[in-house]
Amino acid sequence: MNPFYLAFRELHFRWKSGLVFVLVVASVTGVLAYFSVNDVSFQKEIGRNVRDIGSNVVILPAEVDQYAYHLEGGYSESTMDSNLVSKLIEHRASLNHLIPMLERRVMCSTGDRQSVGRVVGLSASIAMPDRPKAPMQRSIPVGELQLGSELARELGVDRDAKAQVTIAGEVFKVQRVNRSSGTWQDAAAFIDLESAQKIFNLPERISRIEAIECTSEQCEASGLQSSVILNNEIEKITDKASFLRKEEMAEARLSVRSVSRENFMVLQNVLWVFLGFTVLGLAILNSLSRKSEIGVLQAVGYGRYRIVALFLVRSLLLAGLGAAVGITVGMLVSINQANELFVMTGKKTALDWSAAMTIGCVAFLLAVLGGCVPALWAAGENPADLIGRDS
Amino acid sequence: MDNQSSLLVVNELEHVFSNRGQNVHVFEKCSFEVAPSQFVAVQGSSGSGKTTLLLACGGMLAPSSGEIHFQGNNLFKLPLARRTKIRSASIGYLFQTLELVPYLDLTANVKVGTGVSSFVANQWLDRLGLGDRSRSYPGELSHGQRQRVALARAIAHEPALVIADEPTGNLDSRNSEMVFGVLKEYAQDGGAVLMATHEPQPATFADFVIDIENLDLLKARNR
Repeated sequence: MNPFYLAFRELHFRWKSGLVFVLVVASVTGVLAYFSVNDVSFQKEIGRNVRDIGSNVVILPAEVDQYAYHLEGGYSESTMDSNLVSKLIEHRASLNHLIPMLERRVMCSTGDRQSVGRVVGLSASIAMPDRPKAPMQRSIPVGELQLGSELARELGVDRDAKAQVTIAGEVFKVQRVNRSSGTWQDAAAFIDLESAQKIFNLPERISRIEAIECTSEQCEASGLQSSVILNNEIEKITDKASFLRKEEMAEARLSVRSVSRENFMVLQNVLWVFLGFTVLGLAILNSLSRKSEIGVLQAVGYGRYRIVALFLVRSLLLAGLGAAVGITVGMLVSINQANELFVMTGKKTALDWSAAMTIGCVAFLLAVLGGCVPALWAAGENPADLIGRDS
Repeated sequence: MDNQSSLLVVNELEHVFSNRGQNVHVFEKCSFEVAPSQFVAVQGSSGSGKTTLLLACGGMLAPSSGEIHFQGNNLFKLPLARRTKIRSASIGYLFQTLELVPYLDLTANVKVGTGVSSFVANQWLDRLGLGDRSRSYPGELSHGQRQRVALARAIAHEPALVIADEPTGNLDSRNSEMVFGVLKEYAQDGGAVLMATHEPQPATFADFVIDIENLDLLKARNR
């Protein structure tokens, strides 16, 4: 009588204990799958949120006096060559979301009202080729402009009104009036970079590059501080620029990301241990509770490996079924809830096949270990030592 | 009886186990032989070691010392797998506790391990009055019925030696007679039977009786 037949008969007969095994494995693998998908989504959401805090690195022309720059509220008339952006990309600097800008304080007018504004030409944020990201800043169409809330008020432009603003003789259509940010941006007007270079007569020139640092891996690997790493990189690329790091913002970004990652890691590790104990424990318990049966099977002529096969088939069937149900339900629930849990990135939540494979394989492996080892040990005993001695 | 003609030769068998730090001698210097067609009874009071002796003879419990030869093989010098194979082919064992597999129906219980066909298994069930219960499970049967299934499992593959541990314990007289009848017939047809019993007069049906408490061989009248 082959072990598959025996295993199926046993499962059919003891379907309740089999069901408990499947449900427990399904619950643990389901929770693990749920958290695996959520972990990825959570990291994306955190990344997106901290990205929206804004840039934390500013690259300025080398000659900028940082005292004067800060005294002016982060403004300087100095410029540098715009091809620095290409150089930074070429050298794979530890930066992302690069936004080159050119700015001047100039008169802006609309109809009968005029006011000095900080006019900033900028391009869409540029992602490093090996670090593709959704753009942090979208491009502003040529001939259009975004107005800071305070400048709009000065110029008498309503949020909903279709207005035009003239800057250095060029007319721009107001694309939108930005919400108040509580910063200098409320007194600014934003146009595309090339238009700014044209109206300010500064072709191929930029005032600064704003960016987000990507130095956490290097910091972990080298033990150096982020500012040291960036300084070394920029020194190698050019001597015509310097950088300043918005320390609090940068540290806040790092801190939020690492705390969220560590918390999820702890939770996942707890779940992995729980999965291990559950599958291993259930399989071992099954083998030990059937010692007497192993003795009887041996007594009637069942060999060691046929007995092990019997327990292996059982464990694999139940662990496989439990893991399949758990992983499927866990992932579907997490995707279903993603929109509510992750406002910014929820729609992009996808099945994590790699996590599914890992969870499934580990559950299988544990089932093999838990099912085989005690059965192999028991089947090596004399039948009389087992019969009537269920644990 | 010499070793050549004997199916089972038990030589100077001794079994000791430890209980709370003290050695308990179950039996000492037990020697006997069983030849084909012999019906041998092992007699003794409860706890005297009958089951231990039978388990050792069936190759399922290693004795503390002594030897057991079955069909010329020193059983406990053989690897476990070979011993299992010999047991599967040539020994039928009826446990005192029956030990039927609860999740197999009666036919499958008779077939399990021995490789007999469903036809043969059902023939035996039929003969033991369980033909109409072949699809039932052990849990659905009375003790007497389960005892008969266990007997069918021990005997269906026509082993050279059937070892039965108190096969009539807790049975009514009708069932006892049926079980005895089958075992006696099996011995008459050439199979050897080694049976533990606490029947008062084992010599009335056995070729010889081993009194495990005195370890004397009691010659019985030839049947």
